Amino acid sequence: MDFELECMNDFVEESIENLDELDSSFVELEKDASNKDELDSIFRAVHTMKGGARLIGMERLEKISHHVESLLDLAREGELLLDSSRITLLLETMDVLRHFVDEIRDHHQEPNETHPELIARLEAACEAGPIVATAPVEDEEDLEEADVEIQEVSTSEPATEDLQEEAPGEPQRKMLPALSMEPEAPAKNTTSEQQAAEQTVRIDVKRLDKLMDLVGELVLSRNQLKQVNGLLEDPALNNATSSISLITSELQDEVVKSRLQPISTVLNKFQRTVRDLAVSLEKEVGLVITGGGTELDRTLLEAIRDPLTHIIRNSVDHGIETPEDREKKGKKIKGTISIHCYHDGGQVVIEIKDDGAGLDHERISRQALSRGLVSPERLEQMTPKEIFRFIFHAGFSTAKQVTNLSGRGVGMDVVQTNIGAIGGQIDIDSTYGKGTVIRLQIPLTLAIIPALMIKADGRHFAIPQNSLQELIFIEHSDFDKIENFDGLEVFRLRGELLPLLRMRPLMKMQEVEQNHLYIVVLVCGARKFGLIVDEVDDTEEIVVKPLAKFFSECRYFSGAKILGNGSISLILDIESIASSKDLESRGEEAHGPKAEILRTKAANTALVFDIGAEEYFGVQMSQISRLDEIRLSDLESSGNQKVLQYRGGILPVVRLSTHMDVTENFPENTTLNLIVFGFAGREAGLLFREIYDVIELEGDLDISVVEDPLILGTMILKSHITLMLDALKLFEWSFPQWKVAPAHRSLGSSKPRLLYVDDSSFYLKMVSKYLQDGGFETDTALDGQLGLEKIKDNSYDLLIIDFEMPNMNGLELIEEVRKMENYDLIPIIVLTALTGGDDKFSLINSGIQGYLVKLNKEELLNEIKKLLSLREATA
Amino acid sequence: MTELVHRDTFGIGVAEEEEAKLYATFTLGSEIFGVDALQVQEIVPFQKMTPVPHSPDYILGLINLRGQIPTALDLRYRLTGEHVHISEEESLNFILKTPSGVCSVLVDEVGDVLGIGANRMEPPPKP
Repeated sequence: MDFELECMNDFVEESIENLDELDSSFVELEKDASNKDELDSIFRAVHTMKGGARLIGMERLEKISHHVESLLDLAREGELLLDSSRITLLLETMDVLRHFVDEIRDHHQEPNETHPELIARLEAACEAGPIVATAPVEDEEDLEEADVEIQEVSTSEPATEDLQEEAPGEPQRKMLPALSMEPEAPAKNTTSEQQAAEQTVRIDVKRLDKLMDLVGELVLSRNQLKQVNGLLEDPALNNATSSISLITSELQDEVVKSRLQPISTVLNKFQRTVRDLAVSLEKEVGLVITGGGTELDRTLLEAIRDPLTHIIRNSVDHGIETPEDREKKGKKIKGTISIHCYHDGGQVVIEIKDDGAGLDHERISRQALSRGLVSPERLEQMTPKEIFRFIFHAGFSTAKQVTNLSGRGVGMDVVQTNIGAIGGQIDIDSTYGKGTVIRLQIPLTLAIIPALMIKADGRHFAIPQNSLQELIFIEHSDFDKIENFDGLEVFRLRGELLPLLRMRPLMKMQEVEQNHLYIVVLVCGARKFGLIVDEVDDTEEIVVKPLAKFFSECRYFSGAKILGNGSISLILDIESIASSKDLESRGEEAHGPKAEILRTKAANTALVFDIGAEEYFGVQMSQISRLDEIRLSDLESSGNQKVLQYRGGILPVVRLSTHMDVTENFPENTTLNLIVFGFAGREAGLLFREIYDVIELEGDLDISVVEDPLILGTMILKSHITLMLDALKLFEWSFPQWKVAPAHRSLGSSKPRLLYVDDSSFYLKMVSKYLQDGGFETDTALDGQLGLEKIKDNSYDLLIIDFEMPNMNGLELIEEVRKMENYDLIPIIVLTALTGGDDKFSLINSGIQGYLVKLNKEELLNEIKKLLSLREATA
Repeated sequence: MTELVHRDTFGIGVAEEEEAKLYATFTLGSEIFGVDALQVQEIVPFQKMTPVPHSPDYILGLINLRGQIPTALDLRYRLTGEHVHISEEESLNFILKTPSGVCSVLVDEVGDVLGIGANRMEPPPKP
């Protein structure tokens, strides 16, 4: 079929649906002008229509839509209210748009009407205040008429009603525009003759759905038959059963396949979009498509069309720079957008990559802050990837100016919503100045998904595989690894705090004492959490049956599935669970300042890893800034040093084999892990293969065996020799120019020397007594200023500081100390009275190692010992 | 919810009625109810039920009906506020097609199909 004609038909089909919905949406909005969701959905529909009109070159239609969009945008921003008169005007405009669409359907071109009067009224409506009707004052009557008309429209639309009757419990279908085929019918007539010769038959998707349902039932009946067959052991029955079994499987495959179409049917249309856009923006952009033959369920294809359009438009408009800019940056003048599709683990991945300007995460951060989407503290801890996700918030736009094309902050939230609605996931990564990659993961079909079966209280539940990240088995003896943190349970997973939810209480089931449990680590968007379940079963391909409307309020389930034995298991809706109240409110805290204390306590844990050698190696958790994944091929050489382009900078990377007598074994072409260490503001990476475990260091380090200065000691972990590395020394050796000054050691004194600064002489007296009991030599100072002088004149191994003090408070003192050359790494414990509030917690970022509440002697001494032993170990 | 006709007696002759509408009847405790016969998909014996956590009180759970998953409703609870006593084997599933999806009403006994003319209908009793 002619390419343009195909586009046009698609546009007509979609616009008719949109217009039908818009009519009723406007009426809803009129009833409740504050209905933000309705307004958003109207805005998106108009935005989509405008985009479509642009794509097929219908300028007049596009122009009118644009004015509608502007008016809606103002309403969305809350700058004006869509009162009855405005709604009337908008409905009138919808009628004009409908007329246009009808004309396009029948004549393949838009009518030669520009409707200047309508546009003028739309413009006038954008002015604040009630509009003065230019038309005769018949507002009320007009409105009533409009109302009646809409009711007619909605009642005379058998398509949706039929759908609801036949498929009542399938709410997600409503989101997929492809399903109501009826409106397309008139458009089809015009082209059916040209198609007659083709070897294909058009089949209503509803019929395919029905077929799919029937096959599903057939599979279940077959399973029953197999069970009976197993009992009877009749050879004739056995033969019949196995052939039925085979045929059923093939039939199932074929039915699934009959719904598949190559992604190129959608992608090829973007060639035109990109070219037209590039021309109008005076840019040079090429589109490269690979893997277009990858097939996807038809309904899914329809569902990803809009999101893809948005993404690609954004790439051309914001991503690719102007030719002049590109030349200045030394890039090829012609920008490239590449779309790559491939199968991956039962999903289809669509990667949209551009070599444009990339996302500026600082600007996104600023926007997010100014919009109050995030607290400054939280932002501090976010990775660039997490920050990029802000662009998925409704109304979020970092485009400097709103253009006709994009920049209104519609778009990315629509993309997120649409992709989420079909069970897909979206991932974004970008290097500023270099380009952006957006990765869509789309399930192959909606009807069959891979899922992990889990058990709680004897009942089976299914967890869709696409949110599953890993499984952790916890034995009874390790139950204390699940820590309670202000009411929220957390698990320390490789140095990160993983908030936990328990399946049993979540499902209103009884909690019982258990011998072991599993943590299912789930990821939903940027949020990661663990779900505690009793048992983990196999993964299965499951046939999803949607739940009836009765369950619209229990959001935790996305559907049900029938098990082999005929019983039913529920499919968990991970997104809803992730946003459940418990996690929502407390999960944030797990990143907050209080969590920092918990982490501080982790100072004495070590990460044990494997480099493919016989021995395992360990480093103290507190020395690690980050863990990351790289490929061996990502490494580059700079002189003798291996380096990695990392987060916009150059990260030197060290391999243990260069400093020690060990043999590494890194497989080619797989991802390796990287520990990023941070010392005194410098960063360096250490390459390793896999994480073995995270352990607590409790004096079980044997320091007698190995004499290598890089090794602090050894220990045996599950019959593996584990060498604890002195990361600090390792880097001093690798980068002598970085020499990190060890903290002052008190010469000639075997006792560690401490300084306690507090303005309360009572505490001074008491705490110094404690410290002396603990075997430490202790100095005291009555305020920050005095403390600082003592620090300058003497050398200490550790500082204990009160927060609130006259002259110079605790924070100021810490800042001063950190500036001093020899003290920048000295351990500091902050001691404070309990009452004081959270503001103090924000000070925790200032680089202290401990934070204690006055006053528990044991706790204080333990903390000091712990920090000093660490210090000792690294010095 | 399904349209329900509440009748205390069976004293209705089908032949007398003009334009009679057919109602399938069932008993729940000591009372007889009828539903539009056209809405009844089928009647099946008691099925094992899968409860759905966090669902409304009047929902008993899900049943597996040859691959279809109808919602089992507790009609007694809906009408009287008392929960139905699920006595296995004895109860029957009245499978109904409703605008909210296929659902099942657990009943004690299935009665006759009755034709009832509109003129014999009385408004539902007010609580």
